[in-house]
Amino acid sequence: MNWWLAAACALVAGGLGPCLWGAARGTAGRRVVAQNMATLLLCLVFLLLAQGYGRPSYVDLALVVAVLGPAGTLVFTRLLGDEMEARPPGARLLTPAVLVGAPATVVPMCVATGPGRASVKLVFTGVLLIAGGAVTSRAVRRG
Amino acid sequence: MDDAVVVAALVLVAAAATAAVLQRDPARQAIVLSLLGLSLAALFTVLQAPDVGLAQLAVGSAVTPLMILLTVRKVRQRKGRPK
Amino acid sequence: MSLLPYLIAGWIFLAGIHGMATSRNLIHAVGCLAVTQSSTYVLLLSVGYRKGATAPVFADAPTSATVVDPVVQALALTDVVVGATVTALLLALVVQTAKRHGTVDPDELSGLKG
Repeated sequence: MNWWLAAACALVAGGLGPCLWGAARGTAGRRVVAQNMATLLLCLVFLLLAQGYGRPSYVDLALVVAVLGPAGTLVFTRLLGDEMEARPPGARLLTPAVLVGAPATVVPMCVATGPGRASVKLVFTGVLLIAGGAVTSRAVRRG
Repeated sequence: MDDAVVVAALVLVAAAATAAVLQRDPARQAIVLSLLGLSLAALFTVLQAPDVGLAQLAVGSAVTPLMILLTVRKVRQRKGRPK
Repeated sequence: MSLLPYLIAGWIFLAGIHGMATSRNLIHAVGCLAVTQSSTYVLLLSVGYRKGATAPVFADAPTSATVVDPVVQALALTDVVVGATVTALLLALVVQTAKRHGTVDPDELSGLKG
C-alpha cells in the first residue's frame, strides 16, 4: 500500500461518498452539481490508481472519464434544465476543485513518470479535465 | 493493505445501489444511476478489470441515464400530467 | 474480506429485486433492473479476483506477471453490453405501454386485455 493508493482510497471514501449523498437528496440543481463533481473526482481517482498499481495503461480510463463525464453532465443540464434552479448549492466549488485537483494530481505523476509520451498523455488528460470542468460549471450555473 | 481501496469501492457501490432503488422519481433516479455507473467503474478498476471498467463508463455514466430521461420525457408528453 | 464482495453482490441483488417488486412506475422498475444486473458484474469479477495480481493486459506488464482471471472479465464485459441493450429495449416497451394504456403504473396494468 503506497501513498498513491492511500490517496485514491481517501478520494473514494471522502469525495465520492459525499457526492453520492448530494446526488441522492435535495433539489435537481444540487444533484447535477454532485454528479459533475463525482466525474471530476473519479478522473483523479483513476490517475492515482494508475500510479499506485504501477500500470500506466489505467490512465486511459482517466482520459475516457475526462471526456464522458462532462458529456453526461451536459445531458443532465439539457434534459433537466427547466427543473434546475439558477445557482445550485455547491456550484461555486466546481471550478476551484478542478483547478486545484487536476494540477495537484497531474504534476506529481509527471514528476514520478519522467519525461516522455506518458507525461504528455497525463498533461493532456489534465487539460481535458480542466476544459470539461469549465464547460460544465458554466452550463450548471446557467440552469 | 490493497484491501482498503477494494472495501471502500465495494461499500460505495452498495450505497449507490441502495440510493438508486430508494429513489422513486425516475428523473432523479437517472442521476443516481449515473453515479452508480461511475462507482462500478471504480470498483472494476480496483478489481484489476480496466477493460470492463471502460465499458461500464461508456454505458453507465452517459447512455443509460440519457435513455431513462428521454423515456421520462416521452411518457410525460403523452400523459400531459405535470410531475 | 474474502466474503465481503459476495455479501455486497447479494445485497445489491436483493435491493434491486425489492425496488422492482415495490415499484409504482415502470421506468423506475427498469432502473432497478439495471441495479440488479450490476450485482452480477460484481459477483463475476470477485470470483476472478486474486490478491496481489494485476490486470491481464500485457501492453505494459511482463508476460510472467500474475494476473486475475481473464475469462470472467470477458463474461462481465458481455454482461455489461447486454445489460445496456436490455435496458434500451425495456424502455422502448415502456413507451409503447404508455401509449397504449395511458399509464406506467404497474398496479393499474393488472389485467391481460384481450
